Amino acid sequence: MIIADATTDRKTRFQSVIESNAVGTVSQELKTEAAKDLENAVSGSVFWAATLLLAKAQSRLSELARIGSNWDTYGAPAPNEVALESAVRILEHMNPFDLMLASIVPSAEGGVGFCFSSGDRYADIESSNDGDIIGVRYVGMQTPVLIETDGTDESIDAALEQVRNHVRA
Amino acid sequence: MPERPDRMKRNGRPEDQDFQATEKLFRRYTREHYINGQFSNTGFAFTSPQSVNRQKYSEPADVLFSETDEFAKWGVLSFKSGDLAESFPPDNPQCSFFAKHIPMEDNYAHSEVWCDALPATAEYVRPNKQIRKLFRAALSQRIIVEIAATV
Repeated sequence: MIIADATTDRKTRFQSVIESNAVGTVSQELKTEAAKDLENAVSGSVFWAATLLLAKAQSRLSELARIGSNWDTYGAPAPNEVALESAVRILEHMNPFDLMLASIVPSAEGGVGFCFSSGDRYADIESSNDGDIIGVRYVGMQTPVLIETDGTDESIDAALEQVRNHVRA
Repeated sequence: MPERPDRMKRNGRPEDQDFQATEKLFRRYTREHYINGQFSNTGFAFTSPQSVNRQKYSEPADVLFSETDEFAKWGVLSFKSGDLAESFPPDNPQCSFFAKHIPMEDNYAHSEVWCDALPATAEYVRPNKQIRKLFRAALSQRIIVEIAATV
C-alpha cells in the first residue's frame, strides 16, 4: 500500500511538472528531480522497465509510419500499412529481452526491420511491404542462415526464439 | 554553393565495363543501419538495380556531393566488386550479381549492382526473397566504412 502510494505520488509529480508551463531554474530543478524519481521507480521495477521498452518500440514504429519514400535517397519505399501491421504483430511476440536489444529500422526494400546485434553475432526479422516476414542470422563472416516464417503466430514465436538463442549464445 | 569536382563530370567519356575484383563500390548510409558495429542488411535492397559509385573514377566523398549539402553528415561505406557473387547462393546457384557502369553526365562513376538469372538473360532479374535476404546479409558482412556517418 505504501509502495502504491509512493508510486502514485511520483507519477502525479512527474505529470504535473511535464504539464506545467513554469519556466526558469525552479522549473528545471523540478523536472530534473521528477526525472530522477521516475528513473528510480522504473529501475526497480521489471514491469515498468518492460512497459517503457514497449512504449519506446511502439513510438519508433509510429515514427517509421511517418517517413516518406526515398528516405535513403536511393529510392527506398516507405514502410506501408501491411509491413507496419506485421511489425506490430512481431512486437506483440517480443519479450523484454528482445525489446532491450532490438533496433527498429526502415528496410531499404520497403518494410520494417527488427535488428539484434551482440559482439560478432547478428540477427534480424524483417516485415516487408509485400507481407512477408523473413529474417537472417550469422556470426562474424560465417555463412548467413535464413529465418523463415509463414506469417502465423507460431512461426513468429519460433523465429524470435531462434534470434534469442543466436544472440545469447 | 560547393563546386562539383571535375572528375565527376562525364565530359564525353565512354562506358567502361571493366571492373577489377578489388575495385571498391561506394554508397552513402546513415547511422541507424549501423548497429553495434555491424551494418544491417536492411540498409540494402535488391528489388531493383542499386546505385553505387565506382572507385576507378571517384573518391568516396563523391557520393555525398550535393549542391545543397544535404548529405553533409551522412557516411560512406564500400564493398568490393569481387564481393558480388558470380553465382548465388553457393549451394544452389540461381543468379549472378555484378557491377554495371551506368555513367551520368554529372556523375561519371555512377554504376549499378545488377542481378541476372543463370543462365543470363541480359535483363535485371529480381531474385526471390530468400536469395535477396541471404545476399544482402552476405554483402553487409563485407562492408567497409570509408567515412563514418554522424547522422
